[in-house]
Amino acid sequence: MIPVALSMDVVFGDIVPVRHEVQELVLWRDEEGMVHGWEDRCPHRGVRLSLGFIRNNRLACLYHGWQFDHEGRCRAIPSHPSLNPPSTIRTENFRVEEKAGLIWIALRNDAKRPLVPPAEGAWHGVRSLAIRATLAALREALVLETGQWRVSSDRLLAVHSPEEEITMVHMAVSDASARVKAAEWLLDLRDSMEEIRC
Amino acid sequence: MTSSITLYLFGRFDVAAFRAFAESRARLVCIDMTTERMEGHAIVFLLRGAHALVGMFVMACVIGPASCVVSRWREAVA
Repeated sequence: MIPVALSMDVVFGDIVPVRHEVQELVLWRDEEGMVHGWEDRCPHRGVRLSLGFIRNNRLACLYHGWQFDHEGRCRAIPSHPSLNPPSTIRTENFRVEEKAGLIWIALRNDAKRPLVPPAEGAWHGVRSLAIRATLAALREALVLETGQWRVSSDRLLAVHSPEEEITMVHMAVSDASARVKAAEWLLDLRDSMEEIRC
Repeated sequence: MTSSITLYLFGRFDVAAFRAFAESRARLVCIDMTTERMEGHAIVFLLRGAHALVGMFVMACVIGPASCVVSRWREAVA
């Protein structure tokens, strides 16, 4: 499964677009606290659902207001208020898990593979940072080999690749008081990977 | 309310693209679609389903996929 965001960055009421390679995704959290991960495209006219809004615990598309419930099923079409939309009108959904302060999503090629949680216990999100470097380069720098994450002492680092030359690094710590130092370390990592010298 | 209509579309069509588009939209909005005619300049569908959903399908076809142009259309009660 792919770590695509920190849990703390997807709060109820917000809609968060993320991208992994060519796949554009939308994340949102319902009233019950569950996070959902869908293709970022309304089945009606293809507009990005991440441009929409949350109403009545449903994600509503900005374009024509079609509303989708937590299962991705269309429940209301404002231009036809008396219509009960057929169950065929639904978003494309992906399996999502929240573990170790991160949101993990199962795309097509690993849809049934269970998530092996990186570490037990409470993790506190630090930040997600986009670094202009390839995933391979980041893996080498962080000694990730082919994996998506590693735990090093009290830090959890997870990566995914929104675009070919950009890698997103998500960081969480087990000790909340270490957040500031960890965030500084992550900025240093970005600067060294991008070879920014002051 | 259920509608049964015949939809006539005229214009310039990439037949394979339009067929795939129409079949996909008919599945999405859960209506019955039968192709009566499918040529490069004219397409005719028999449609049956909830009135609002048939209307959505018609509007989708009038806009059509990128490789097709609908210049004229009409519908008739089947």
